[in-house]
Amino acid sequence: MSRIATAVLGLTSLLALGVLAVLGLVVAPPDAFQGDAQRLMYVHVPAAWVAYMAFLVTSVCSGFHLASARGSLRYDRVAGASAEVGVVFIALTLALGSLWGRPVWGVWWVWDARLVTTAVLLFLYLGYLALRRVPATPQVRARRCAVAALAAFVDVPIVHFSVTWWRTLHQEGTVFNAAHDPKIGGVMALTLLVGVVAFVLVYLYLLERRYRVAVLEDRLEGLATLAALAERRESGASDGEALDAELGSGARR
Amino acid sequence: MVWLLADALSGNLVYFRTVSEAVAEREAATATEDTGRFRLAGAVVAGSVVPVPGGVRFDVTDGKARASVLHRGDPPELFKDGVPVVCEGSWEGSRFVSDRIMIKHGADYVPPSVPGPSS
Amino acid sequence: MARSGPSAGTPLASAQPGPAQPGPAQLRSPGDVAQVLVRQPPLPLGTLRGAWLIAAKDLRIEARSRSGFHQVLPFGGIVLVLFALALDPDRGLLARVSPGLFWLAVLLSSLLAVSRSVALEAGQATRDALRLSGLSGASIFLGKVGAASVALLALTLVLGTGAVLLYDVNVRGFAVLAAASLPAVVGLAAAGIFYGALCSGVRSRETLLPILLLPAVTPVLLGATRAFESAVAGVPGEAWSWVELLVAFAIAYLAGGAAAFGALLEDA
Repeated sequence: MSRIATAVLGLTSLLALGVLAVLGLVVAPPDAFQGDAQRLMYVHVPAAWVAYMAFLVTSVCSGFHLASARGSLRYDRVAGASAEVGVVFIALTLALGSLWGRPVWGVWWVWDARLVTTAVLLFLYLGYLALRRVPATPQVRARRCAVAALAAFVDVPIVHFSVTWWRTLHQEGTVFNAAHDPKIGGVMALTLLVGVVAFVLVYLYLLERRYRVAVLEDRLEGLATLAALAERRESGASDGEALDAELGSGARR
Repeated sequence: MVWLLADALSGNLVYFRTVSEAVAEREAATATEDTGRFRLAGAVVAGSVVPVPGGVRFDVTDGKARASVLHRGDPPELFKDGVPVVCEGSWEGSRFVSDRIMIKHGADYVPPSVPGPSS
Repeated sequence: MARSGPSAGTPLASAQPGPAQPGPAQLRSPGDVAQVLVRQPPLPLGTLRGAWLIAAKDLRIEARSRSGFHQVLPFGGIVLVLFALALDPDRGLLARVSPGLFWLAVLLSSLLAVSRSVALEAGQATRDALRLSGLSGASIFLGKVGAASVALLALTLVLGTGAVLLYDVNVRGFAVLAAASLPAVVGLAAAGIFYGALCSGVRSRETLLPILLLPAVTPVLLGATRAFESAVAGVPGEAWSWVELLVAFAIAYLAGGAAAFGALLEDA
């Protein structure tokens, strides 16, 4: 992605966040039951949805990487970048949810199915990120990470359906629920939509930036290897001279 | 295998019991058995909220059965008539004694019908 | 390594047709040496027979070194003791939460057991020998899972007895305990070997394996604990859906691991 395009993406996402802030904090009405605390929904829900999307991108790219015979690392880099951004968003989801839960539910945290599976999701992908930092050849590391990503993604549908499958304190889906009947309308629905758009833009921007960093990291690793090889060759050459000198003096004796 | 999963998952992570279930359980339990600590879910019956020293007394219902609850401590901010709640505690005789109330709000978002601060 | 038709001259040639054994003059890599030592021509063995061979190998090594007995078991035991110390044994709390504590101890000990199982293949020659043996990734995986399951089952029995004694638990519903323990242990072993393969050949395996394995086995912890709680409380009927969950988990990781293991073995 060109520099200009990235900058435009960044500015647009900033703008969208600004619009969201105005809509969410000022324009949208407070909820009849929950009051102003409900405004956290406009950031908590988009963060969760974008996290699911990020992990989906990771899985799809991991699948493509495993399926491709060429061994190109591009899919792997996208998968890793997307997972990192996804971890940020899922952590944000948990934090915002906790902030929302305290005034409304009355507690910071409960161990119901939705929250537990979401926490497990966070840890699954933290493990994936740890695996990415393992010192190994890029091909080996990419393959292992791809397998781990696919295993970890199994939790995403479990998190989404947890409120339908089990009894939870967390409410059922407002937009995506079993009755396929969105329970939100008007300005509030519009604000939620703006929130989703804004967060998707932020995700794309962060993804692009992180991908670029990954490309630079790989390039740096390659350069470091070349430098080490060159250094070894030099020291090997000077060792050889010293050895020749010794042997030469030994032969003279 | 999907069937296995679906069957296994469906009844089991019971985060709370409805009033009917809890009452049935209590009545089925023998004198020596203890139903233990659990969470009771229901809606606060309008007009049943009575502050008592150190807590509040109220009734919950799930539309079918009704139970009386004694809560020790202050209830959360949004607690009032008609609100769906989840109370954590245990049966003491025919009364549920709870030490924690959580408000279980629904998934719908509605602007206040009257302009002004929502109560 | 050149492979011609069956060469009857080499003393190691098998009766069945297949790629020839390398003769002494053709030993060029540790894999060649390993193959000669193993005295196993590269036969396409059936998956189960291959798994049995691998499981027997792992268990034989374990029986000779007894590291599980000397290290993993005492670790589990000390974890049980530490839980009791942390939770104030005099307040009657221990017996009620004993299923959870027991399975936590098993889970943490399984990290050691799995790490040990993965370390058995750590040598380059061993990995080459495995790849050259003609065994499929699935059979190697299932074999290792089988051996690890046996070890974990033994661990469960000993730690379980310990927990019952230390935490003063009244045990009823043995059928449920057995029905829950078996799929739980197999699931743990399968997930453990799967994630262990992802960490193999890595110096930081001891710290990497827990962060990968522990989040993934939360269903086992949940299912096994709840099933055990039902058994201890004397209402075993509720436990059966948890047993189903454990079985589903075990099947999922057995299938996934068997499918992926071949590809994972190819690396490093």
